[in-house]
Amino acid sequence: MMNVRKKSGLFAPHAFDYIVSAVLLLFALGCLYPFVHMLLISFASEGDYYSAVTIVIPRHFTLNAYAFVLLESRIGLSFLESVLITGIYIVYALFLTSLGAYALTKTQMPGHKIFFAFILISMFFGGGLIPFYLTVRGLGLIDSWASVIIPFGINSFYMIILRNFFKQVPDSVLEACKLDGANEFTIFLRFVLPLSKAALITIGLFYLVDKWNDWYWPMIFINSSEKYPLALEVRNILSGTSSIDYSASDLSYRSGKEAATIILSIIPIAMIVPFAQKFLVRGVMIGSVKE
Amino acid sequence: MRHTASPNTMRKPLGKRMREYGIVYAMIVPVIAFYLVFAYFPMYGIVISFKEYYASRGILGSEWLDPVWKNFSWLFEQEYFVRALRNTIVISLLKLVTCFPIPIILALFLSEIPFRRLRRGIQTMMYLPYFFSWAVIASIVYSLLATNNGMVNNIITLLGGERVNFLTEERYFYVLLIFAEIWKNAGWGSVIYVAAITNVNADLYEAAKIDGCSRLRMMRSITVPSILPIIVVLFIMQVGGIMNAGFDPVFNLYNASVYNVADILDTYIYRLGIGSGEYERAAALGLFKAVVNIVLLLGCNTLVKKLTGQGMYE
Repeated sequence: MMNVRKKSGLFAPHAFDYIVSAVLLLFALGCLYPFVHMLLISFASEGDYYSAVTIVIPRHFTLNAYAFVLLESRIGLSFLESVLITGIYIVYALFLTSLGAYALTKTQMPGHKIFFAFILISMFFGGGLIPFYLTVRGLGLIDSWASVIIPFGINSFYMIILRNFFKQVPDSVLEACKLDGANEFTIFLRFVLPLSKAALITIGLFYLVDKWNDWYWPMIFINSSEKYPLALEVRNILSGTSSIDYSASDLSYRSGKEAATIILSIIPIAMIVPFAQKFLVRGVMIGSVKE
Repeated sequence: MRHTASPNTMRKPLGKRMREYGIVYAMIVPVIAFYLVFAYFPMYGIVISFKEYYASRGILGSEWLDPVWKNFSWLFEQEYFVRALRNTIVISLLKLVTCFPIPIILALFLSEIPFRRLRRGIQTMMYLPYFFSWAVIASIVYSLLATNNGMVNNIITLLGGERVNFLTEERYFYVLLIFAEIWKNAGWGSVIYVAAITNVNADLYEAAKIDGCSRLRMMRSITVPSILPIIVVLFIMQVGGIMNAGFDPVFNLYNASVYNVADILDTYIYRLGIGSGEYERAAALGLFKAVVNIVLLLGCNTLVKKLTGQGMYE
């Protein structure tokens, strides 16, 4: 951000700055508002909701919608299951991805080009949905959580980003390790990984967001509604195929309950992303560096 | 990636060089196994589009079709295929003219904001929707547009209009889709351009200031030309991805009453394969799409190489 600061420092703020700021602020608030709207609905009583024309004001603040969603439906459970699936997935995917990314930094290794081409081809060309589905089915993974974890161990784009991060570990460090007699695996484990913490956090965050939000593969691979992760429960509200009876008569009302489900599904991401922004932005920047 | 082995290592015999990397080879075994099972085996699985596939007989044991391209000729005669192809191209082009330039404009003006904390706040707010799933985004769109007490329709009636069912009318679908796309992706899409603008040489602005340039003039004559290379690369990549109109947004925003304008190749493959269980035909359509995709991408890569001296993927 150095140059931006320097550049804007050239000028004392004047009308142009205020107009630009106001317009962009309006756009940003427009991006944010729909989520706030859902949050308000989730806290509003049925009366509040139906008497509102634009902004729903929860005059009769209530947690009934959350009480229903968390205690009387399986949403609370699916939230915990999603945490578990996402957690296991991140560890598994980071492990596989960093192994591959490290090997990709070894440009002088015989076979490096073949290995790189092997990965590149799969980025350009793939079997498509049906052959992939049949593969996963053939492995007997259908209707298990493993089906949404194991087949997604490596995202090739992330692996290349991670490789670019690993490349930043100074060669002198690696050479010194080698002279001390450390083997490649020790170097990887003891030096490259600890020196690339920020990189692992960045890629870990990308994997976290992907898996937490994944409704598509669970929709295809998981049949039993008692195994649905939270993201799929949200999708099922949308398609009207939810196994949860949102119209059940209790203290809360349908729109409120649906809003509460949506809010629960976005809370973890909404809490992480603003603080992790620095890492995520750096990931994009490293990803756009070509070598 | 150029091969940069020094003459010294080149002189060592291959066997010796390979032994040096023995552990690295062991480390990539699981990686290679992963790609073989989940990327290369499905590629082999494409042959079912030329076969009468029975799960019990496996891919090898299933009979070849007569003629083998039977599924393809069936497909190309389908009205639905033509419709999906047309919609895919229309939606991609629409996105190219609307969703592509907006992040650039956002980045240009964002970089002009001198109030640092405000700028960061704006960025955080506009990046956020990108990190939620399309299911969430579409659910909220549905809620805001609902005929029954949706905010948008409430405003329309307040202004004396009639409630509109935006979700089931063909003519609103593209507007809806583009709006949702911009809401979700435009902010985050600006990151790469903001980064590029940050790298522009600040001396250029100093000099322009001395010459009495206005801010907008600087934007036009310094900033835009400086980030043009990255704009061109991203533009060409976008063109190369024209067959990918985006499964997620369409699938979450469409319904049977708007299939006519909304159904794209990816959603058609899904309904054909997963919905109706016509594996071979859906696989055939998948192959068609993959082949067109790779031709477009390689063509674009060559183009980028010509323009910038560097490919996108090496």
